[in-house]
Amino acid sequence: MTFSFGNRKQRDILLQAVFLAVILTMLLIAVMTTRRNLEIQGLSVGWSFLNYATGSSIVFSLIDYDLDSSFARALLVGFINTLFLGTISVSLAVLLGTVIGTARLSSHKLVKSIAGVYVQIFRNIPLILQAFFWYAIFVNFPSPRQAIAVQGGFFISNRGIFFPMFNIEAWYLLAAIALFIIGSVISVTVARRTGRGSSLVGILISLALACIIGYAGRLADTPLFDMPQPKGLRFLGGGTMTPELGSAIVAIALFGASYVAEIVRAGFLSIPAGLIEAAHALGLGNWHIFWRIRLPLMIRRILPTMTNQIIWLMKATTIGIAIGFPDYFGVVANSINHSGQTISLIFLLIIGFWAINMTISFTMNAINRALALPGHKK
Amino acid sequence: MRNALKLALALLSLSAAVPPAAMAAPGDTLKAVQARGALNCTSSDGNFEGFAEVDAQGNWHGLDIDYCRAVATAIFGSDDKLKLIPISWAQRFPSLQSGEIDLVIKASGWLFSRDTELGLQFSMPYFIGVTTFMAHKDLAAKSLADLAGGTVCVAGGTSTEKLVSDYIKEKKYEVKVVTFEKNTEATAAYFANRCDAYAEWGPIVAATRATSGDPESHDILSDALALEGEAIVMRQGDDNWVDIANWVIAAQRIAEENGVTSKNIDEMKANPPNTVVGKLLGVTPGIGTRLGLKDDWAYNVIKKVGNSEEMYNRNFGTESRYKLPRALNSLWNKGGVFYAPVLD
Repeated sequence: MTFSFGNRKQRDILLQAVFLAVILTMLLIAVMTTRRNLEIQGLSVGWSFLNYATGSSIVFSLIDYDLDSSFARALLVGFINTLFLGTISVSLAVLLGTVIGTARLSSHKLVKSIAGVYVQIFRNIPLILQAFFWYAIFVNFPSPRQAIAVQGGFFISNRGIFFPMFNIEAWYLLAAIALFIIGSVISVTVARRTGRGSSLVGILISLALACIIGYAGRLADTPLFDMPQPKGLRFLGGGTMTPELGSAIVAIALFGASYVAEIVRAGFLSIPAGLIEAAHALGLGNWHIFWRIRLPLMIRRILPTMTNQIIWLMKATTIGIAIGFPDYFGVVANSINHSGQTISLIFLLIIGFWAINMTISFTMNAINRALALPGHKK
Repeated sequence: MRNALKLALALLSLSAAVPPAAMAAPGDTLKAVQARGALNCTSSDGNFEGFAEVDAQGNWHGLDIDYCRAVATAIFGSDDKLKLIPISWAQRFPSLQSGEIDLVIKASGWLFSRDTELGLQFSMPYFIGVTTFMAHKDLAAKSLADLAGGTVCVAGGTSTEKLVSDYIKEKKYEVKVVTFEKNTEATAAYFANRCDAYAEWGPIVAATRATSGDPESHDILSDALALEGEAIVMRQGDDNWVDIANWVIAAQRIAEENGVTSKNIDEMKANPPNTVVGKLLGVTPGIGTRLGLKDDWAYNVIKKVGNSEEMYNRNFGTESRYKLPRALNSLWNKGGVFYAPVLD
């Protein structure tokens, strides 16, 4: 088999090979140049620093961490914090955004204009400014000694919001919550797919199972609820939402919701009017049309755009550094400062966010494929 | 098709010709600075009281800035060839390594990890201080022990953060540390009462308190953490450059020891009281050539920037708004710890 330029297929393969070779060469040269320059500067680049103690504290951590923990551990703390902040704030943004997007199409004048004003305000102010604004509000609550007591053992102060917490080991609590959510989702899907059985039964079974798990993880000899008690400069017991975490969640959720709202609105508007008219002709009520036709069609239409939006919001969690919340980016920045290992740490930063966002995009695409209407699978 | 191939070849040759990043080889910093006709030195991305502050006209003041001016004056005879580059705490060492700046004069502590791992070289310290805490007066705290359950605001990524964390752990205090990206944000959070205390290097705490709206409502606590010396930081492997930094610091101290000030320097030069002053001011040749500078470099530095006492008073002492006693930062014969190497 001889190679000829006249053969289009062979020519294309050659061109692609040449292109790939050029890209790889450039990458290789970049790596070599970097290495040479680092050697000239006497910089030690490597991964050994990951085992050294950081010597710095992290104010918010979901896993055990102290001064003698290694850099690797600190990065893990930051990574978990980013996942935690991202999961909460992005979920809130999607829920709130869906409600506001729907409200923008309401026939009710007041609801419609409120939603419109909301979107215009929150979409057009930079996220960082909104974060500073909420943080300023959170730190200007009264000090713990004059904390505002709310019904049910809640206290609001400038050191955070203190709330009652189950006396259950964290992992059991997480497992119980996860089980309840997954069980409910499965029972709803099964009930809708088969058209048999009530989803309520499944939800109740999940709830019962979750309660059993929670009960198994109870701390011995304690009441079910751990109430925060004011003591000196702080509150003992209960759970705490620090001002840094609180303002980051509020800022990202409200900001993200305004973008999600517009996507949802576009999704609703893109449904062909014929479908809705057909539903009316069948004599379905407005409520039915919304839940059974408009909402499912809207969700299918906006999934790809929504994937982008969620990934984008995940990256927006990096505003944490500006208001003192130790997210992944914040911990990496601080570690760079302490260890001087800029290149290695930036690389880990990139890998971390890439992994999070690849996971999101993979999951969303799987959902997209699962939901696609027969004949529309792409 | 031909064109596509040509393009590919062009790309290949282009990528092979990418020049390595421009940076001075070790030992050449002085030559590079003289050839460039400018000294690139650090300013800040926010005020660091007494060390680097920017006024309403956009002019920089402070002890660190004065040292930048002193080095520029030693090289060029005046400070108008000094280029101040605003750089954050996190950026200072990468910027130095990449050759963007010639030296870091930015309240940078001499730490083991920096000295060994990062390819850096330190001058002798030009300022020392202990880390202290300031707390809101209404807490009536005498020391950090009285703040059980409280929080401390600090700027993250600094040696202060490490010191404070170590101290709290060692004493088993139940105090939380909240870190911020910038010192400005940490102080703002403290004044907003997000934290019970604020920790920084002593002079900074005192200066922050003195210039706050109501100094009386903040107490400096009795805790004094490890003493840290701040030094000029340079790239490793350029001994001549390190010598210049060290002797700029030394020249100002020798001037102070011998009573040479920016005001009486011309009389001193006309009529040196002793041989050391004669050598210092270039009356007897030799102080410049060994460093690759002119013999009048020390004369210019003292004439235009002042001796070590004048530098301190202008930025922290009697002539500043902080009025901090010089204490440990005095020379050895005035109750401090600083001295100059021998000028022979």
